[in-house]
Amino acid sequence: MTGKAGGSLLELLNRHEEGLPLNGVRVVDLTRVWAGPLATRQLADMGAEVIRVEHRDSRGPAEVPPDSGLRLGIFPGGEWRPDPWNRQAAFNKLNRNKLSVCLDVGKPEGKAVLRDLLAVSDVVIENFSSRVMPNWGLGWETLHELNPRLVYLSMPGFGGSGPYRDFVANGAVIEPHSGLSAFMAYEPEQPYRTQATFSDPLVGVVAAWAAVAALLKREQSGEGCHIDLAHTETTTRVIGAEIIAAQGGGWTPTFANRNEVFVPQGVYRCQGDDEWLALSVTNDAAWRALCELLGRSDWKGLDRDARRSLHDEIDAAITAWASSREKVQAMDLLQAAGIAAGAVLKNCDMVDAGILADSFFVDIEESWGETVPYPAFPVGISGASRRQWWRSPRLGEHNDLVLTRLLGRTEDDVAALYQAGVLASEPSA
Amino acid sequence: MSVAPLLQGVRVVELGSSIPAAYCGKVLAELGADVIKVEPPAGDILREHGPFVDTPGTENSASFHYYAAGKRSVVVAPDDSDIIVRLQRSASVILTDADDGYPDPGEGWDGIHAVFKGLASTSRSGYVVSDIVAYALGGYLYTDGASEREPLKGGGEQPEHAAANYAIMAILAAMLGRKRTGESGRVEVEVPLVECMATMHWYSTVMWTYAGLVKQRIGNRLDITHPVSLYRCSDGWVAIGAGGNDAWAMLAAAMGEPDLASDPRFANGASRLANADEVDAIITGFTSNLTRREVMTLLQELRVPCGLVSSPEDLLTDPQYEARDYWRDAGVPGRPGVRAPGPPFRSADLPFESAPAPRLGAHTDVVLATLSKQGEVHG
Repeated sequence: MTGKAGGSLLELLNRHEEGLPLNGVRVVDLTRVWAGPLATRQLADMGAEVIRVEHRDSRGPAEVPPDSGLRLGIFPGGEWRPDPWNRQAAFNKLNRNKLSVCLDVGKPEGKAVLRDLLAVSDVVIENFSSRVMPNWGLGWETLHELNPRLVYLSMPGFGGSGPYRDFVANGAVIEPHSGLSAFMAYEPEQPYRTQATFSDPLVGVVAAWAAVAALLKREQSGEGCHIDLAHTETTTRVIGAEIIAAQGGGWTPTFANRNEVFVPQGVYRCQGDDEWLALSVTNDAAWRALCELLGRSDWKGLDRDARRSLHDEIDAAITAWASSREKVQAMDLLQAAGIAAGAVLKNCDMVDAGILADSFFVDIEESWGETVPYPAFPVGISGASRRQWWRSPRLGEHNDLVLTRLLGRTEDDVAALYQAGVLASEPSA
Repeated sequence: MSVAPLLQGVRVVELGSSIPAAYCGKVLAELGADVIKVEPPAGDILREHGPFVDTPGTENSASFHYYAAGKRSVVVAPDDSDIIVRLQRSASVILTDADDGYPDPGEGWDGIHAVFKGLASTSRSGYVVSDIVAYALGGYLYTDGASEREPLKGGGEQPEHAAANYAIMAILAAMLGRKRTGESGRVEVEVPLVECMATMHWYSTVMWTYAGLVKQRIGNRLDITHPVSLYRCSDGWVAIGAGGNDAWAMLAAAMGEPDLASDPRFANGASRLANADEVDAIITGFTSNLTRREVMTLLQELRVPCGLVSSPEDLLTDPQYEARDYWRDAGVPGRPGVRAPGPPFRSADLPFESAPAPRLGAHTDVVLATLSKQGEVHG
């Protein structure tokens, strides 16, 4: 796709698969943590050649201190030795199918390598705060001059302009600020946030399609473009209907898992330790079926308004029914009667209970020799399903390949860059 | 010179009535596609779906105004296969819900067909998946809310937005793949609501597959460090994400207690987590005497991640959204001041258009009059 490129690295690595929609697209991945790496993972899953450019300390220290929160169950079998930077669960989940170059962009020689790489790439994505790229001398104008076909996607928390442009943020701040937490509550004015910080993966998915949209635009215009993606602005779109309704003056939100239209709706205790079932009655037929199961034929004629005023009493009847049943059996019974119901899955259930599709998980052989199941790409595209999945790269695993085969540096050049600490393959001591 | 919208000249026929299909269609319309929303004579189900602007009514649903913005409405009887097939064959993208009974566009149609469904699993593929059921099966619900209470679903219809955005990604990627290879042929895109939501996790499933740990419900805190939580101010709540040691030191400085940074009880993420109640009492002592905006300004000056817990009213008056000209006219008839969220991202080369949602059947005549009798395939 990029004429100047020194050929496909994925082909050299025997990783090329025919038919993937982003074959031939090269992405430079400067992202960290969560939303950004998810964005580039989607592109890699769809066939793009994604090259992570990582600082040697970006994956954490060489030794994990005994009192660090990082110790908490995110290494295989709890064991971080000998190379914790290659063994982190969340990192490995988010960076499969990618390549890694471990480069110090703060050094002039490192920046020169990055510039050479950007010159032969199609997309660059970063999720720094909005000061970093200009401070490196890599603002949009420079990038566009360096490679007019390059798509540049930046994703600062609050956006690249306006009074908050330099504000720092993470998902735990963005989700509430974007307005989602106000609607997540057992009662008004007692907000919660999601444990997975939904704004992060949402932004990751939107950023991936924004990059694809820009590549599609490039097919028309011949030029790359700059995308400024504010986490807040993307996330607020989740509650667009609520925002419109709130301006009408006649609307009161529902809380505590209830719903305006689906009545009753709630989360009900099942048999076992902290086991639950979610249920919503989506129409009158489902309501009559539920009455049948609950043994409350006398309730069958209740319309939605009547059910709403009896919600507490109905909830008690559902709890009485559910609490003596196992959650998956309860779900299956309710669904057999046409009622929307779902077992509240723990992380172990997601992996082991056989409810999510088999195709949802793929097994990937890890660098320490174990095979680990990971969530795959959730959408099917006919004729374009990936058959082989590649583990997350070790830090700097593709330094030599990228510099010699793609950027035309000699082996002596590469050795000198290692010597100067510009290239590395493990964290600083 | 204004830039042409990305999907100018692309026709989308939206037969699905689920929120994922509707949001996918909304975005394609914003990107310039001609999105035809096919409605039954009684109107799309979202017209009856809350929340409502004022009282319930077919033209009063905030959901419909939001999700159908920029589309054209064509009323067709669900059993009029002839018209539906001709509509489908005039389009290059079709959005449907699984098992909705609509006919296939037939041979020779080589567009992109996206099908929205609940669960991908074969044994339970027919299950009815409402919003809260997708939160449950997608693994979000169990870990969210207070540990001593029942699990709590998130704000807004998060699973639906996850699925819709995955669908947009797949449709645009399929378009790009075709453009670059010159290949044609029908593409089927399958979008399962539950599996899309189940992908939206950071370390939940890997906590189990790596270390055999069950991710617990822990309120607003984080498992790996502290303080990352919501805190009460004099006029509501703020979110503070100061889990890193540097951010904690700056937070301590902002609170006028810089020595906290070197206090062994709070020296690192694990110790602050072990003493989280104490940490939270200290922070609340500071925040509860200040307004939310005072806290946010103070902390951001020291580069401590902080934001408000915003209500819709807060968002509509937020100086950042205002400065970036985020809001659009929501197009609610008779309510010119009502606003809706603007584009998900900004690019001079990828303009997003905004237009009101259609009245029921507003475009039936004009669209049907232009349909080819033979059901010719789109150009």
